[in-house]
Amino acid sequence: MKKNLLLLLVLIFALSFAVSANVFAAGLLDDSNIVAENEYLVLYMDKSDTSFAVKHKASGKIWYSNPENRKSTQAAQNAQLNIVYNPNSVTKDNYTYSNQYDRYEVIPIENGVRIEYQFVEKWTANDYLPQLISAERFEEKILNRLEGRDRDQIRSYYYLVKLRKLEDGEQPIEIRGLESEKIFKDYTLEILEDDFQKMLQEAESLTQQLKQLEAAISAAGDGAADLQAQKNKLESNLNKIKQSIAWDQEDIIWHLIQNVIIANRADLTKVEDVTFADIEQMVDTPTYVRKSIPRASLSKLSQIIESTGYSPIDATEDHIANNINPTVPNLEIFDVTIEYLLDGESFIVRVPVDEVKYPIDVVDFSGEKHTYPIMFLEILPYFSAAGLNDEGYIFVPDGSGALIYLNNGKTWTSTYNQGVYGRDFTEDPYSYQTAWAQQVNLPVFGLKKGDQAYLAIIERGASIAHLRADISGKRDDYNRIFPRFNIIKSGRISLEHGGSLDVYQPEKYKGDIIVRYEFLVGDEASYTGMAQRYQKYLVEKNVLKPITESNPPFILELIGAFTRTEVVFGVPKDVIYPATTVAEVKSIIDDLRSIGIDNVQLRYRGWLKGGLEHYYPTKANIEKKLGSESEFIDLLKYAQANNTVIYPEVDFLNVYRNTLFDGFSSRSDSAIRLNRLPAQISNYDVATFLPRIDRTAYVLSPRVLPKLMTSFMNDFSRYNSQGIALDKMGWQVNSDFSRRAGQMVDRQHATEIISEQMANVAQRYNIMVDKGNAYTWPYVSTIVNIPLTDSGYDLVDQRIPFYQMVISGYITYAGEALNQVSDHETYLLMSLETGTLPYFSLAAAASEVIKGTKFNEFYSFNYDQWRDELIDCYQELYPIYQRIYGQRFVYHAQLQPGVTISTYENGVSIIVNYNNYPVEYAGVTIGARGYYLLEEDR
Amino acid sequence: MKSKRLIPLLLLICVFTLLTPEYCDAAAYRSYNYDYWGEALPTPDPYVPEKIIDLNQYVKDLRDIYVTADGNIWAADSSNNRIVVVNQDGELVRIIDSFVTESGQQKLNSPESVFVNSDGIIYIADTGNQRIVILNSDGEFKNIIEFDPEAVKKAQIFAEGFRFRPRSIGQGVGDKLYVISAGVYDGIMEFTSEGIFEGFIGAPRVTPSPWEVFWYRVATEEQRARRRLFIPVEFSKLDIDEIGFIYTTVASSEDKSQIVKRLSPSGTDSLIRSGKHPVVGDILISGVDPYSGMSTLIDIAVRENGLYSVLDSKRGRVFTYDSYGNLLYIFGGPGSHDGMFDRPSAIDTYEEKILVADRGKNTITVFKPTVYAQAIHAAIEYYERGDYDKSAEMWRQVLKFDAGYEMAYTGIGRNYLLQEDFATAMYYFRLGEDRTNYSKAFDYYRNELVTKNASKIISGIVIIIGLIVLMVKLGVPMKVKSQVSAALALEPGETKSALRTTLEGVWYAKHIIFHPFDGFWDVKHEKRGNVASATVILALVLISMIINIFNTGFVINTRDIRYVNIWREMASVLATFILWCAVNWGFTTLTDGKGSFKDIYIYSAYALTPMILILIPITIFSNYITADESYFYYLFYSIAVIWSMGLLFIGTITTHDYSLGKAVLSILIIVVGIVVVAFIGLLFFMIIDRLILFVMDLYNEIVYRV
Repeated sequence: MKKNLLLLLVLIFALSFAVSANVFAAGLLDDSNIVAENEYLVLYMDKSDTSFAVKHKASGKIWYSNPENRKSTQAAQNAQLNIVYNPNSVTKDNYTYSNQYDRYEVIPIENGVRIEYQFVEKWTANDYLPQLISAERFEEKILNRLEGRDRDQIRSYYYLVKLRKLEDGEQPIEIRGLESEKIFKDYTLEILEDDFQKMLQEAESLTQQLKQLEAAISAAGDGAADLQAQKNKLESNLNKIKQSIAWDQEDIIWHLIQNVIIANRADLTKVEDVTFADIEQMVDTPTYVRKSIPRASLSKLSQIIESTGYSPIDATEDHIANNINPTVPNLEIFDVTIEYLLDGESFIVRVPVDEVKYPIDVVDFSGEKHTYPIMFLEILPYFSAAGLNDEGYIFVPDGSGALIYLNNGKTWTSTYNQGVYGRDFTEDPYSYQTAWAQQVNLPVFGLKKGDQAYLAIIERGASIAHLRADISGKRDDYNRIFPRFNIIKSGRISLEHGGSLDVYQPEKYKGDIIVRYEFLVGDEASYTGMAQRYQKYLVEKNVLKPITESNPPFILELIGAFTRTEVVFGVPKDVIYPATTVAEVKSIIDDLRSIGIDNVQLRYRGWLKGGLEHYYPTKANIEKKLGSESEFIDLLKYAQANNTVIYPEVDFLNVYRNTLFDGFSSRSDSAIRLNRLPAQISNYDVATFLPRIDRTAYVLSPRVLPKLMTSFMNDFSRYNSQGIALDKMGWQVNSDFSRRAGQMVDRQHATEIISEQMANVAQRYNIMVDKGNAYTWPYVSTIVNIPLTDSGYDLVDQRIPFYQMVISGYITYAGEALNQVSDHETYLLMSLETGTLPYFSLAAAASEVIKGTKFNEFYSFNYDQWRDELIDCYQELYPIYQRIYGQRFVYHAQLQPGVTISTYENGVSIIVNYNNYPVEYAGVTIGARGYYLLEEDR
Repeated sequence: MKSKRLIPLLLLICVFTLLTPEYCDAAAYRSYNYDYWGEALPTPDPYVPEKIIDLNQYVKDLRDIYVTADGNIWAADSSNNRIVVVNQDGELVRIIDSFVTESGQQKLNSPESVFVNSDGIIYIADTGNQRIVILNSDGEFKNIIEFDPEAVKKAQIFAEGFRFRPRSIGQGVGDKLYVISAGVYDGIMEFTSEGIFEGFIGAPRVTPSPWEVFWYRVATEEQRARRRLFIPVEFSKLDIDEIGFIYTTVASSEDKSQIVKRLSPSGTDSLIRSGKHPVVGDILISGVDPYSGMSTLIDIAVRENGLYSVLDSKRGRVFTYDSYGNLLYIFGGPGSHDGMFDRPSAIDTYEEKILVADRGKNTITVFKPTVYAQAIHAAIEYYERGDYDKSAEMWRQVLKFDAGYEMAYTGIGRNYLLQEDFATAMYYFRLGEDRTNYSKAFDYYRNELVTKNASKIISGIVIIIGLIVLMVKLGVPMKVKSQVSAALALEPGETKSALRTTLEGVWYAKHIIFHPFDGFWDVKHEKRGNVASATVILALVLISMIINIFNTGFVINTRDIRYVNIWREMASVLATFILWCAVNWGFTTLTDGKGSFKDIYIYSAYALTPMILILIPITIFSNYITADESYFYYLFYSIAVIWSMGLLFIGTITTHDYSLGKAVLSILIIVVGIVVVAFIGLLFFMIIDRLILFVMDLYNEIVYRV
């Protein structure tokens, strides 16, 4: 018996779930929901909850903005847009805070649709019914928009009253326990209800009758006993009516004062506190006073009022007009607009940030000012989210690229959360750093489920974006990835005595947020397909231009000079130590040629005055200990004649030395932090994780960059160099939060300044950068220190060479310095897998000269010691690079654990076996920790 | 069509096992090592994560692992009450959660450790049931070790409320079992192979300080009984090497020699700690953030050639030492990346690999050595085998990867020493900051020089002596002296120039240091000294101190001159000097001392003259001595200090016209006065500091709120 009951319960439960599920997706794909269409795509939108779907016409595949069979109870899964605002980092989704209150508008625009959301506070039924409202507004906003029963019902819950001056001789209100004098002065509360008026009239007429009767009695003299009886009866009637008038009046006044005024005023607690000022607005203004409403009918009534369009925001207005506090503060109200557009084969989401509105200095009822800055916008948090039964992966651009397998079960890990283009060093510095991870160099992400996938490209606002991804089993049953845009950066200043203050970026991010979604189906739905699509996009935008040369260059870094502490005349002193002089550079070029290595690209680091941590580069003076200026000019000429391009390096973004009269002032030229101090960047101690005070540098404000670079490049032109290495411009983007008018530079603007400057330099020089964020690609010819791996987050399952697949054939790239990595064999195998050229960072001096200096991360750099490896590496690998250099990298896959294949457009494939045993593939054996070059006959 | 194997970068290539659960190629941690000065230098990664075995589907709380010779990993899962065995590929081999005895099936309860001996006998620390379960290799019941509470009470060796909670098990010589039980401070428990408790070993004996001895004397009988004769430490885990020595770690202890131990079967600690730093993991990390403080060493793994690795749970690091206690390399870190840990719980080795278990992630990370670590291992291996040339060759290989590796310099230097190339050996020892060996090499080198040039040196000395004798014979010194004094003599009517007065004043110091009573009297009463000359002497003292700091010979100099601030050094000496003068003046004027401030300043400066005369010669001398001779250096240094002190004392007597007793007393009071003034000064600075902080706070609030 019990068992059956239980079964029944379970059944009912399951059924109710089944019913609640799927209610959302049902009917979304109806033709009536089409809001935009072109020859490739159709955009459907359910206007009731603004969820949408994009259909790929050719394949019939559909991508949903929200999970198809989501549960109505999970508000987050219904969201297309989340805002996060301060203080307290409150997150609000559009579904709960805008759609459910019907505070949004869907406006059709060309090729798409625009939705204006207003995010409100949590409203209850009670908040829709104003406590006090002027008759004029009540009728205009509510009553006139209602008809019949609804109208009567609403009307029945309000009294209409007004304050009127006492007429001559009229008695003031007198109620026990009320100081009428103080509250009403010489006014009286007139109750304008029909019933009440009727009673008044009746009392009036009775009084008249009484008067007549009295007149009659006095006229009739003694013999009017029956008249007297009539009079008595009349009198008692009148008294009764008067009594009930008095009672009613007393009731209403008490209700007004106690339940309406005192209950809705934070500053009043007792009847004695109420004064005339609190009710003054009712003088000669008919006003409706809300009666006590039984809880049961509240929701019905609020629904009636909601249907008129009257909202708690209006109620707030009426409450304030009537000197009472609003039931909801209605201070935290935000406007965000989002647009969905079809653009050829892609789908575009645009958020015009200048239309984002948040409350600034709104005043609450206690007179305090509040500002609620929106810090983050999260866009399409569940776009194409994959469920428990889906197969595929999430693609994240961490380092070279990485995959998170759907439903990988690693529920013990933390969420993937990584900023695009690395850290902003103007933001608060880390108090300690424990991990040295790769950064995101590409503003893309993607998700593949089944045989369909999408790739998202952040077109605008990439540098303020964070990518967040997670798998099922943690928050809910979905695997997803979405971008989060930091439109106002915030920081916290802790004060010595324990308190802390929040500080914000002085102006919000200027510009739009645009994310482009590309759809991939069938064979294309893979990370290879994503890379190809991204590449195609970049080629069409003229960002990538094919390499014309077919001979791979040998890329080498030489370290010029650095500072060391030495004892001079009995006292220690910082002196410049020349590690590779100009003459030594020349002999190394000669040596490489003697080995047979020509076509060298040589990055010359630390050649400027001051060495590795050079002086503020307003001038391009060579460090005298390395050689004279003319020697350097000769070297550059000699190199050019010998098919070698020298890339002298300069670091504009960080200022290591701040000396007098060098043109740099830490107050006006460095980037300013949120705490209004000049931003500094520091190295971190590997043991303590704390910043190293001997390795800090100022962060240059991007605002100053054009002036500095113009000055340097003018001076640099005298060397007639072919190339220049811009080092950190490839991976560092820093804002400037200066509060001086017009001086703030947000991060997106900073990327624009850097790109512009690189464009200028690129007109005359070949540019080499480190790591190579995507915005540098139009201008650079060589990228070094390109990541070969991801950062190895616990959540991530597989590393992929996405970055290399995008730029292979368009930009020359080399990896980390071989002499600095520890697992050389794996490094070389990975270089082959990813088509990355090897790289060395060397110097002519013996390695031990670095010992005891602050540059202790260069623990191995002697050219002579590494010469043999360099030759081996060249002789073994370059014949292979010759086959693939300048070719597009069109296919990559893992054939079996530890075995990968990389295919180029000319049909050449490289199979790499990372395993410690040989493997068989396509009839050939690939040695343990070896590789195989497979050439298709063409 | 070609298939090639990569050219090995090193001759060392080891054999690895089959495919891996999750390939890792990146290490987000930074490996490092400490140099002589205690500074952390980044190094290439000695070990990189090769694969990560995710045990989440089998295990809830991974407390301990043990790797058997066949590569199977035995994992103790205290939350699921079982032992899980997986192979190197992370595939499940078996699960043990219960066993059958005569009285029926019994279940494990929160096992915290597991150990399997070479015969395949399984020892499970069935911690929740307060016992050790011994099973044979098929999982059949063999024996149980447990403690009868009554018996425990009777045997008085156990502390009140003893509970047997085994945490780590090992087997030593004669199949003896060694067990660490949580909450037991008396040492490691020793059992016979039959499971009979034999006693505790390894609790550190107390070496009482004189104060403690005194306290013990005055204590009552009862109090004495309560005092333990050993320091209570709680061992975290143990591992046992091939010859039966027990390696243990202690998670935290004030005493740095307690943290890691190597106990002989009899219980004496035989760990060699001759490295540059104590065997404690990270050397002092100060600060208040979550990653500060001493390392919390929670497990140890013994490796080949006497190497051992310890696991730090605080910062998720693995430290590896050689048998002499030299820190070889450090890797790992805290965090959510491959090769980094949340709550590391155990470490073990398999072949060349290191396995680390993480309770927080329930994963086992398998680390493989890189060429860098392999070169270090090989260098040690060759050295142990006595193949010193090959060892030096390997050390060169290490230096190629890491020029900051001091042990490698020492290793190479040692080889040069053997080859009797002393100068080169010295060069390498110096780079290796190895003062002992440097001194040794220098000794040989000096001998060699002397022997080689004996005739030259002797003839040189003879010539010099001859010349001196000749000059004395010819009366040259007298002539020079008379000429100088003639030149210095005042012309009649000439007044002394300031410069000359000063110089004469300085020259007079020569007289004072040998005839202090007379000298100081004259200084005061005959005006033989003056402020200018005293200042010159003081300046010379400062200069000679600076010269001493920066130019003392390598063998003796243990200050890191890169971080010495000349100005601060000088200021500290000067401040003490001024303070001495001021307090001296303040006190003596009250006790009718006869000296004015000026007098005090002058005599105090003069009193320091021996510092100049001795410091400079011994600084030069220190560059030519060995460690054995450093005794002379310190002797002369002490002489300088004592001499100066003596002069100060005599100066005080003479200048203030004090009796001996009064002088002693007043100097004592002055010293106390200096301490008090310094203390007040410190207090004052602290208050000022607070005030400044307060004003800054106020300013900040105004600035940021507006």
